[in-house]
Amino acid sequence: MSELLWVLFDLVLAGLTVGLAWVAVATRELRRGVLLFVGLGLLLAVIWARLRAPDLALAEAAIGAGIAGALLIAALRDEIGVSAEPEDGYTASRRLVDLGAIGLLLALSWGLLDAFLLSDGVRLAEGVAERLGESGVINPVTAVLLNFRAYDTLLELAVVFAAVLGVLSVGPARPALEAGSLVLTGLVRWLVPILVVVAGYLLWVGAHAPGGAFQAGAMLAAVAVLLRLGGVAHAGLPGTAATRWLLVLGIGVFVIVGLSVMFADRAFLQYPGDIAGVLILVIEIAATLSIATALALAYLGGRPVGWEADCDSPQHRVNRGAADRGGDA
Amino acid sequence: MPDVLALVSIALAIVFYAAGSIGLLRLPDLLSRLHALTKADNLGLGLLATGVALLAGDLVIGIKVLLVWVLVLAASASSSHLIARYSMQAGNRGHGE
Amino acid sequence: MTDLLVWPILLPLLASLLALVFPRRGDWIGGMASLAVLISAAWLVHSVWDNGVIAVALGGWQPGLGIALRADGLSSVLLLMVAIVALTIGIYATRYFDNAVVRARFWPLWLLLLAALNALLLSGDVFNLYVTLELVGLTAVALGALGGSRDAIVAALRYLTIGLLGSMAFLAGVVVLYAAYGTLDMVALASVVEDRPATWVALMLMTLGLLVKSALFPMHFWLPPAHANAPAPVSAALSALVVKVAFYLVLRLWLDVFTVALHPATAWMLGLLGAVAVLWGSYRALRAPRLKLLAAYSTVAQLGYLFLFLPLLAGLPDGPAREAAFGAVVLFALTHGFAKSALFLGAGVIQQRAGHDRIEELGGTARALPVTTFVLALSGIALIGLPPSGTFLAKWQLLAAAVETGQWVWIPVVAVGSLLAGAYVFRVLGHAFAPGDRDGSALAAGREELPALALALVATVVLGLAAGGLWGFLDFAAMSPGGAR
Repeated sequence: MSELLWVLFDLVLAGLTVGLAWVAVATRELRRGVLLFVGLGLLLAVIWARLRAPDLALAEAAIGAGIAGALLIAALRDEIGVSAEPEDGYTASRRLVDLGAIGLLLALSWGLLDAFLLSDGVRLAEGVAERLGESGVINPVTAVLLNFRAYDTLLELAVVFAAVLGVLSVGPARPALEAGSLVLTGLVRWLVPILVVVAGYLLWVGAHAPGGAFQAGAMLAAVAVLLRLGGVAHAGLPGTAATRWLLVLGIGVFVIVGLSVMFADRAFLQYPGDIAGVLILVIEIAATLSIATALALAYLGGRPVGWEADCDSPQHRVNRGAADRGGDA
Repeated sequence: MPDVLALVSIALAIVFYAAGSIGLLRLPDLLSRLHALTKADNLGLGLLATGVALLAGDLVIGIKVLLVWVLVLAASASSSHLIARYSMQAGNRGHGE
Repeated sequence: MTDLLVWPILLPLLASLLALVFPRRGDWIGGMASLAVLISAAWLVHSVWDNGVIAVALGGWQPGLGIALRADGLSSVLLLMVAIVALTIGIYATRYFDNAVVRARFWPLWLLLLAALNALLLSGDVFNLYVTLELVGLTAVALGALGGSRDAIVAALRYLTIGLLGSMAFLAGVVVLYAAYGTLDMVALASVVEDRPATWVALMLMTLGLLVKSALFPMHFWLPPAHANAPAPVSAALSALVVKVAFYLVLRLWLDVFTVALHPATAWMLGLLGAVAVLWGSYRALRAPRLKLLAAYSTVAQLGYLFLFLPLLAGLPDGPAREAAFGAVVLFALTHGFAKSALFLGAGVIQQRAGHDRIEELGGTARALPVTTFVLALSGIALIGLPPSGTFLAKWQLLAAAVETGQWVWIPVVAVGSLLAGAYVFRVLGHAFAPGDRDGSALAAGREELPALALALVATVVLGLAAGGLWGFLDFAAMSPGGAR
């Protein structure tokens, strides 16, 4: 009986998700699309929870729905004043894209169907369970992300870094909001310490339960978003030099830890078994700070005030001028 | 006994959520819709939290669930206030929009 | 010795971090890192030459559970090409970006792109490849937008959207592969893939994603605006390296992983698209009003040639003829990498000196910038495929393979494509040698002209003469028995 209820629940969930995704894409009003997209993120989080992947559910809720939603809404505000008239209706190219998407969906379904006929469904999970004891953590997701496939995570941190470098190179940050109403600032003042504690908790608990650097980083970034909404222009970020250091800390610590084990005649990122847990925690703390800084800078939408003040010292400029003249001679 | 209490509490929560949702869809203007929504958030979630905490039967989990409720209360009250204020500033003076 | 594999990735990655933290030392950090990458790449090629395929299991976990890095002949020569081109472009960039603030934005992204390209070339794991594709795509987009003009940002955003669609398709293919075979390691996959629907769908999705990224006709539309509007050093890297690594992945997947599922019909289809790309790209290059746009369309055409090799490789049985064709496609890719980066750097010099790069108004360039005009001519030789460039040998092998397999249809395509290439190269040179109103300066080379000259010389002379060694190297250090042997 309860089995049947769950099937029913899953069907409703799946239908809602597909429907919401369709409406979010099909809607002609950008603002409505963004709000529906945030709703879609929450539904996806529920789906991950149903699939017993609470780590992903947390990440989806915090990043997919939370921070991505905040970024999109901030971007929407930029659009005000720009003519937001959508291209009229259902054009031929749009129809072509739809057809292509449906074709891909059919192909993908065919491939997955065949794959599931072929495979028993265990895949690498068995290997992970077998070697979990050597990884230094108990949570298998953290073991995969920071030990078995730590190199992927390192490159993913680099992807975040690349994205924020792109944001920083395109233009200056959005102007700060003026301080909000008393209710808002009061709420912010009240929530910020709680969120910081929660972020620390998520980071710590990642070793044995759902949580970890990405979720904790998103939580800290939420602090920055709240501060910014409450009228704090720098959104809690420290000065330029410190922010730069925070931004590179995650990858830097990751690589340095990975390289230093090589002195003990090990492969890159091959942590010694007895201190693996500690090394993973160190990497995760650094990664959390970097992810939070990157997401906060992305929310600012560009270079904070004074970001490039120290890029070109006067003396440097003189030297370069001399070199240029030399080159032309 | 706690199970029965929990079920009753969750059932009541569903009633409040349903009422809130219907209100959101049916009521005529922004302020009254907000009014309907806060019922779902406050009472509905409160009852749901009570039910879940009873079902869990663990003090630590119970405190966590309670904390969730308190946080949502604060957030929903503040955001309702902000939405209402924004709509007032935008020229909406309440009933009879 | 296996540690060799991590350095080409980690050195530029760390340097990228340093370049952000010490923005004023960017030139120094970037130069040192590029040099170090070149040394590590040369060292890697050397040890692959001695030992054959090198692999390392990162974290000490067996591939499958963990991730393996691998280098064979193909990936290590491309790695060396990337290192040389990147170093040269980096040197040019210190002259091109005369604003220290822009240089401070350039270096971290540039070094990150270098790390990403190397990571892609060395990766032995299909999911990891997806991550590297994303990293290459994002850094390339951000670099393309560095110019800051509205056109550049619009082109970069379109590039971003298209690139994301490409990576999504690739990722979907990876999902199907993992669902079917339970592993992500390429060598392991090569031994377990079967000729059945799951494999076909995975191959189709991954190839589709890579075709978008390597701008094969008709998915090329994003490339010309993105490459023509980026700053010259960035355009050079986008055209010479970024598009090339996507093609490398097609080659890798088709020849090493999906060997059993490869049907001649699919290879023919890609070959046909390549043929259209050759003709259409060359034609559009001939009609291009601006030098950088010409170079961008020429990239579309030259990538078309690379895809012409696929039906030939699929049609040839294992043996010397196939080895010759495989060496030729690699040689073609290498030569194009050097020649196209030289052409873009030359175009950058002209654009900065003259204030524009309109081909009709290039008159007097030969007098004002003789070295750069020489660069245009040299890279033109490589693009057309005249001896002694590497392209000449590669096209020769292409024709030989077409005769061998009886695929005569490609021969007129190559002939017409080469004629069109000749036409667009001589159109540029004709205008450059025309008298103009600019005063002819002395015959000394500006320092910013030398990097382009070095690249053009490698493309035309070095690769043409040293090509023999390449064939032996690739044959010796091939990844899998079913692959390029």
